[in-house]
Amino acid sequence: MATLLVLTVFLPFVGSLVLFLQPKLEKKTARMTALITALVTLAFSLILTAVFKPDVTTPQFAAGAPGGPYGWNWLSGAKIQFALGLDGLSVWLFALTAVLQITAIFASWESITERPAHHYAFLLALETGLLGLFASLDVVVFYIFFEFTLIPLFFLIGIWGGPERRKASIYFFLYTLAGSLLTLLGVIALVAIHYQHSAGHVLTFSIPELTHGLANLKWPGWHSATSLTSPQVFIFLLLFAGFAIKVPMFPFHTWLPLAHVESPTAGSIILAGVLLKVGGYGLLRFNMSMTPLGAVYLFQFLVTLAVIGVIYGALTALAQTDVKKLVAYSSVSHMGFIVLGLFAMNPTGIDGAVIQMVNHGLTTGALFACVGVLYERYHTREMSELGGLWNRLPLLAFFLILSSLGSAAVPGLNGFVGEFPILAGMFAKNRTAAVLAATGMVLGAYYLLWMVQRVLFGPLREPHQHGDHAHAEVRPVGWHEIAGLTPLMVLIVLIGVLPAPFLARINPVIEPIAARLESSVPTTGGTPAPEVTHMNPAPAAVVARQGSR
Amino acid sequence: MSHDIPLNWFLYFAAASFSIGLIGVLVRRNAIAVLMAIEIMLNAANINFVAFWRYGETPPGASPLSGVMVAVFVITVAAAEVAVGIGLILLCYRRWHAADVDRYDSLSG
Amino acid sequence: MPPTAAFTINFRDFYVLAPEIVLALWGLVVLLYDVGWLRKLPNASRQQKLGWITLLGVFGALIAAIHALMVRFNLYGMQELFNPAWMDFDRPEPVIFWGTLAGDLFTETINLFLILMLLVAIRLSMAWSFTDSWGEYFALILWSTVGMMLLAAAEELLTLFLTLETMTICLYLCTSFEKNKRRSAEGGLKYFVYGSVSSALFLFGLSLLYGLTGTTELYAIKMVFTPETGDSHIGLAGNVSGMTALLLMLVGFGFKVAAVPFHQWAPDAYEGAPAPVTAWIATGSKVASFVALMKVLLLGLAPWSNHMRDVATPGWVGVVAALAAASMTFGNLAALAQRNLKRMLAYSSIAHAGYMLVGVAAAGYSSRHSESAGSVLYYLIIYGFTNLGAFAVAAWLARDKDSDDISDLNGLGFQYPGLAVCILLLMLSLIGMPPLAGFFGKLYMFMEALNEKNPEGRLTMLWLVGLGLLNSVVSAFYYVRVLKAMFLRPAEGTVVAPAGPAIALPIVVGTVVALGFGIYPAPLVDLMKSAAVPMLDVSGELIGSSLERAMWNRARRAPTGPPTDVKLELPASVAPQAGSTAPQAESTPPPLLPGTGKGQGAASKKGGGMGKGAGKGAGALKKKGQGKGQDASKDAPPSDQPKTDSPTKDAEKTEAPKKNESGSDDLKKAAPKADAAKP
Repeated sequence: MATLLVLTVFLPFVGSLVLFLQPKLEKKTARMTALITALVTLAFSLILTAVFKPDVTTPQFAAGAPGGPYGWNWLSGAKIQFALGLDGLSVWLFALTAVLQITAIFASWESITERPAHHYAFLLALETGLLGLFASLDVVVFYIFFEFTLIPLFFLIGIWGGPERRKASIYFFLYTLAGSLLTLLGVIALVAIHYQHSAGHVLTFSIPELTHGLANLKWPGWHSATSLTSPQVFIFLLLFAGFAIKVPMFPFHTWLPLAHVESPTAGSIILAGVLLKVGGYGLLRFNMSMTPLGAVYLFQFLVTLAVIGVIYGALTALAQTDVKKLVAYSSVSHMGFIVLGLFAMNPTGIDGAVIQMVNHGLTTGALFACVGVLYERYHTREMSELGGLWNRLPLLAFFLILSSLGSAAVPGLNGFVGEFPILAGMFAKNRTAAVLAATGMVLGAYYLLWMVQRVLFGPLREPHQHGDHAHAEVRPVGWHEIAGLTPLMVLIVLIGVLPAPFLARINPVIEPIAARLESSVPTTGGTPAPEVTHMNPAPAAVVARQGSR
Repeated sequence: MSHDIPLNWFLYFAAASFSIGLIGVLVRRNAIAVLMAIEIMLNAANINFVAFWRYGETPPGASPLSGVMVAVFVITVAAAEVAVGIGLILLCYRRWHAADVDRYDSLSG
Repeated sequence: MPPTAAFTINFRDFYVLAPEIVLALWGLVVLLYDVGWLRKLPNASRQQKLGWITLLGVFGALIAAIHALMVRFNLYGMQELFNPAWMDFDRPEPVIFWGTLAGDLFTETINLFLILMLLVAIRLSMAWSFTDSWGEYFALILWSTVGMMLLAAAEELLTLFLTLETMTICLYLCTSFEKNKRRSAEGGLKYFVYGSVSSALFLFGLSLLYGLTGTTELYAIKMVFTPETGDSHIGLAGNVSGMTALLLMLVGFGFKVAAVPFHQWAPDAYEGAPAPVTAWIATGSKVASFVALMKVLLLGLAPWSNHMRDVATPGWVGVVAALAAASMTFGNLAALAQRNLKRMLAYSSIAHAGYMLVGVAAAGYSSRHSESAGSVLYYLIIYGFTNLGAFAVAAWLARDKDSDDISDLNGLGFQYPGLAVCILLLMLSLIGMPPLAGFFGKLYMFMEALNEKNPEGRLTMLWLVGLGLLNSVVSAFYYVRVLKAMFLRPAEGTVVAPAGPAIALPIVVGTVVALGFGIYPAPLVDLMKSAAVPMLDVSGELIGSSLERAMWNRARRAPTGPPTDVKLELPASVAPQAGSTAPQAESTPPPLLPGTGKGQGAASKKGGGMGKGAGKGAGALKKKGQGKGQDASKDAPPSDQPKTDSPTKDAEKTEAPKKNESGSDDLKKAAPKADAAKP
């Protein structure tokens, strides 16, 4: 299985190389090559998901003995390993990447006519980066894939994007790079601290080993968080810088709307669907697992940011007239929800956040694909120019409504499965934040339905372009668009009605993390900082709990 | 040794001529003068070397002659530097018809 | 080591120097061939012919360098094969020519990489005809390389200075070889003026160092400066003469590696020089200068690094850290403003020097010296090859467009996708994007920087590393500009002609290095880490014969004062008398060897004679310089030794009057200051 995992991760890259080396390929051949590669990758990842054991907390499909060192020695001197594996946190995001890739390829099926081979090559390279990122068990490997994702997306936006594509791509690239280098600094600091203070001076880059080792560090200074310069808090902030930009959390979100608006549809789907999840995933994998005291110390600050993000995103989305911008800002709002769930620091909230990452990937991916379908036909995304499309494009209307409802967290669809636990978790922790976030949820439902209403219902409004070109021949939704959107619709409904199997795989991994967080959290709410200092013995208890699992 | 000039006299002298050279490099605008100032700096270092060699002693195992050796070699190096420097100054002079370093201004930024 | 070592030259010494000798002689061959046979040919064909002939010689040197490494690692039974009676390979002596040059794994490795870079640079020089004095050009490039290789091997300050000058004088001339351009001559002159002023500053610092120690050998300098009290690293607090020497040498090195604030020459010289020469200055000379810098700082002046304390206290670590911070920040910010590709690369190479200085500071700081130094070496090599590729792009523009604006690259990605992807990888590696080699270079260096046990030091290094990473972001801005021009903008104006092998080679080689050592960096990292070991320690430890080493050990072992008070320590020559009173000096010292006490008078005289105040550093010297009222050139009879040294602070004062006439006055002045400087 370890081989299959590596194969899954690198298969798109092979496809990408093949497409790169044959730049003169016809559109048809190029897209078929890409589709077949993506389909095989999807099949592999579904196999991996199917055989994934629900109750195991250690990474699965990793080379090497379970619990021991994973992966293959890459740099023996520096103890860096090429280690891949999946656990409950990553398995669904891994599968989501493979699914959305299909949607992305179908979304660019007809719309990409300029240098198609390179377009698909970059898409596939991006997929490798994302799959590898979710599967990596070594911080260096994680970071490599993390940075690697920037390059294909830079070109996707910069070459095939809208009128301001150059600005958007460079903005995106530099913004993300800036944050990720701070993250790198934090990661290096973690490894160095682990090396110096662990028993026997263990130099390791392995994520599971670091997580475990840092919890049992024999350094009293590590286990207290009294000020911003306490090691855990400081490193938390360093790590946070990169992931918060990726999420994006409230003050760091400015790159997102620009990147989304200028990006081609496929780029938007992957960007919103998967790339933003990298931020949440990183927060959970690094910040919450390795520097929990930092999260506890900064609780108020983080929750405030998240709530501001939820409400600000929703309000800004309300003010948009461009459908794509609206969806982009709704992402800011929904990602704020996810962060809120993470910082609820109880199993309910984190569970909800993890499943919501998948849900948001599905619904936003679908929404962007729908916007892409619209744009391909009318070359506009202005809501004032569109209306009453229900009659013109009934299938599109169905997809748009279903994904909007899913995104608006209507019970029975997937959004509810994620957002309800988030709110419940947060309510147990901090009522004000939960109530404020709930208003964000209401606003979310409002702007999404408003958008649906303006675009789909009412009198038919179509933009007049190309002179008096009649829109009678507007192409109906094609088979490739149906093929790209249908899996997402199925999953939106499936997770909505049958969330148990999904949650069952997430839960076991969440519990120890949440337990560690809760053991260092004062239960009364309020300001956590003073209590933290005398929670020092806590990690030992946590370790015992972890050990017993 | 009691009637010799004390070491620190040499050192003061070397430091002074070094400073003169350095100031010359910084202040003079004529390329030839700059070149001369550089030579003064190198020779100041030479004085140091020879004085230290004459008055000082080497730690065990080290070569007892290194001070003079350095001085001899530095004289050679200085000669080479002058040759190259004059060549370069001539090259510039031919293009600008000036030996003033401030006039050479095709590069900036 | 003339005094004790036998005056014989082992043939092995020449054998070890084979690559350098081949290159030096080949320079003559090229020159003669040009003068003798090629005068009548047209310029371009002369260039090609001479270029190939030069490459032949470089290949010869390459074979010699590879051979040395093969013998070292005994590949294919090389040690047995190449071990005639007169070539004694088993002799474990890592220094040659009486300790002036090193001949160990480190120099062999650096030679190999320098020759490989030279190969690429010479092939790049054949790209287009920018001068008509090809014989001189190639000969000078070869000789500058000889200077670089010997500079990397220098174990002694005179050799270091000479080789440094050999290297730079050749490069001054190469810079002004583009005859039809004003800026070439101007760049050469500016390079010359800044370079020779920095050499003079360096030399003056060197003379002070010689005065303080009485020797020019790096290892001996380390020995003189190493306090005998074990771990108490005194740094340079109050030692004005030492600080002056250190600062002057750092200024000199700062010029050579183009660190802010001594960088002004670099952009001008880089822009003025023909692109292949720029490439060679930016890579070869920087590699060699950095190696020399590390040798001097990490080997010779290691006791002055003051690594047990915070960086802010006197010692070179703090100075180097400040230089690093300034270079990184200024280099990157200045590069942001550039539109000219060569100038941008010049400023970026200033910034890279800053990153590497972080590594040097870390190496001075950390307890893992050789690993840290190895990480800097790794970065240097990667930097060298990727930058050669980057300057080849500049050469391409200079050849076809006679300009080097970044905007001239517009649309390159569509015309030549293969090379454009290579350039993309080079730029990403220079930014430090994974999984390219530049990323691992930074990762290793910064990892080592943070691997510091002392928490205060770690915090400082954390800031420095954080600054370095932030600077990587800034650097992304201008490197991405190149990518933007190549891939995101349509072509305009004249079209660049196909690169041709001369320009493609550096780009491709750089890409292969960036990608290959990015995906699998282990071999190079391991090689560099093991090469750093002899660079820092072993070669020094084995300097000279065992007799000298024994002398060193005796001289150092005998006196041990209370750890806090350096001045109390007594030299070997007086230890018998002092032993009765000094509790720490109980162990009976070995008999005085002729010459043991000798060198130390010199140090003390200078310490005082400088008249610049003497603090602890001077105290450290005095303890060695057991005063003998003696002319330096004569040996002190043992009876001259002071007999009444007591283990108190008064030792200083009682000692002082017994000093010789020339130094005593100053010593008397210095002594109270020294006492006052003590806590």
